Amino acid sequence: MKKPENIRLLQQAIACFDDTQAYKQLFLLFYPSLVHFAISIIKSKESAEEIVSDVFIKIWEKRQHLEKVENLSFYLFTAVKNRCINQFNDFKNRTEININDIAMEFKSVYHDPEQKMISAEAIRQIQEAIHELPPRCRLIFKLVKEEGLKYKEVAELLQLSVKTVENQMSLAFKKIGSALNFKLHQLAVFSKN
Amino acid sequence: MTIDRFWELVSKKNCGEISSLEIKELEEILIVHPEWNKTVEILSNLNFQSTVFADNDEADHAFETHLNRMKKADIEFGEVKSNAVEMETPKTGGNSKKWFAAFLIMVAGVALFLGLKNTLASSEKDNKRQSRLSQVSTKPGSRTQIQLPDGSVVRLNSSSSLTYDKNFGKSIREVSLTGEAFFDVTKDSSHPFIIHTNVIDIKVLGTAFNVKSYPNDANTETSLIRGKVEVTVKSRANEKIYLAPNEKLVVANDNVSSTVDKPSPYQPEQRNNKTDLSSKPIYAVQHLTLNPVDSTIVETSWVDNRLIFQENETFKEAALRMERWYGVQMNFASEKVAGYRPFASFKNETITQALDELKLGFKFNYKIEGNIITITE
Repeated sequence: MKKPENIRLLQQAIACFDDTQAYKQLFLLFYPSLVHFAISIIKSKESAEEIVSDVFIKIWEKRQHLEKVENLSFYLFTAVKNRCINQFNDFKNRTEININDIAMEFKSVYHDPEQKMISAEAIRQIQEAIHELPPRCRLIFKLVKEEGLKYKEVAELLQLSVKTVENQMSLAFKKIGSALNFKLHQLAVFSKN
Repeated sequence: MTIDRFWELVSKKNCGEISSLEIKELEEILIVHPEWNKTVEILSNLNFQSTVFADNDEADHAFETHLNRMKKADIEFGEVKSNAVEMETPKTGGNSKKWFAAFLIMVAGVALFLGLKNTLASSEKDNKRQSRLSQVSTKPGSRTQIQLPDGSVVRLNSSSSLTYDKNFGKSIREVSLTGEAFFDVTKDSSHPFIIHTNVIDIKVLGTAFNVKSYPNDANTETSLIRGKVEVTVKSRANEKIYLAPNEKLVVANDNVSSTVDKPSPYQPEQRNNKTDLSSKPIYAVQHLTLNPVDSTIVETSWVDNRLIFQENETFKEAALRMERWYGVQMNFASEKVAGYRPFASFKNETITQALDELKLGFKFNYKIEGNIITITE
């Protein structure tokens, strides 16, 4: 997960000092996941990249207000979503976009920082379990566990109830935990032999 | 207990959404079902990384494309800077070049310089130690920015110097400051960041704050913007003062007896050992001053290239700051004018523009010869 304290430092450096280096770091930190998020809404890589770039241009233009943004992750995802929906509606003669169609299809890295408790095989197992989650469930899981958004924020971003987010997260953990538990039992049996 | 409730609790715990009641509920479940303990533990230790670029080339290309779009949209964006960078300096009227083009960053071994200064104390060992020091200094009228090896960023105001060991960041994070600087310290809880000044030592983990410690000022000030700092007044080593955000600590510079501590090896200049009999330093914790016009913080306004006078100091005191800001020398021929209290805020004004604006507030005249300004009635 991105470290909130790092993000705050970058925000401050950009807001107070017009720090271009911090701006680059912030861009690189968020660009990949924001582009994938945008692609999942508008299904076009070029448009997605332009939208994320536009959001970051706005960030630079209004940088003196950047320090006041409490949760920049949530702010960026919301800004990208809004721009996607606007563009989508322009193209499709205002057809409503169904936020439930959103699915994030991007690869992620999962690791145990100390590599003590878990094998590479178990990590693969977890990755597979995440990959097999229903698209909406996977999107919610990624926004919470990888982007550090709160249940409430994900609910607002995806226009869902907090209860739905809770349920989807329970489902995700159930699938991942079960896969892992299965693996552990297998290992236990294996080591006994 | 349903299995779904169990996973709901596990997921909430992992996402920091769990209440204390629910924690208890989960603990009770795990007592009944110890076979899940290991899984729950592993899940809580997993670090889920967000999507990253495949490699540096991809990252650079994405940023390059972004900058090109920015350029096309006519949006001003400077170079991506790294390490020591000069900040813009205010313009002076007339002979600006002479005084301000001479901006100097000395990042160099200052062994010789210090060696000469400390001839009395310098053993061979000391010299070896000092040769590992780096110093960054600013001339009057110039400011600069330094990025330290640990990622911390220091803005150095004019007429200031920051000294640190070449090994900075490896095991210790210690710097020594004369003058004024704004610190944005990278968090590293195992290596506290320590700033030595003449009268106080400041210890922090990761915060943003301003330190003003000019030898010719009456006070040393520490203003905290964010996080937490621990300050020790050198003459009272056992006492620790903690600051909360938006507070500042003001310590009187003369009221500290210097005989107690040995000067720190990081100290760029030896303190003159004046023996002050009053061993109690005078200090006070105050709130930061807000500019009534736009609620910005006055103590750190210099970082934003602003010079603010708030009627809480006399013209003579304010002139000290103007001298550093513009790299000039100001002399007062009139005590009456020196006692006026200016109220003004400058950003890009030249020294003559600034003086002319001050003249709107109260009556005085000035004469500029070279970099010497004489204030008369």
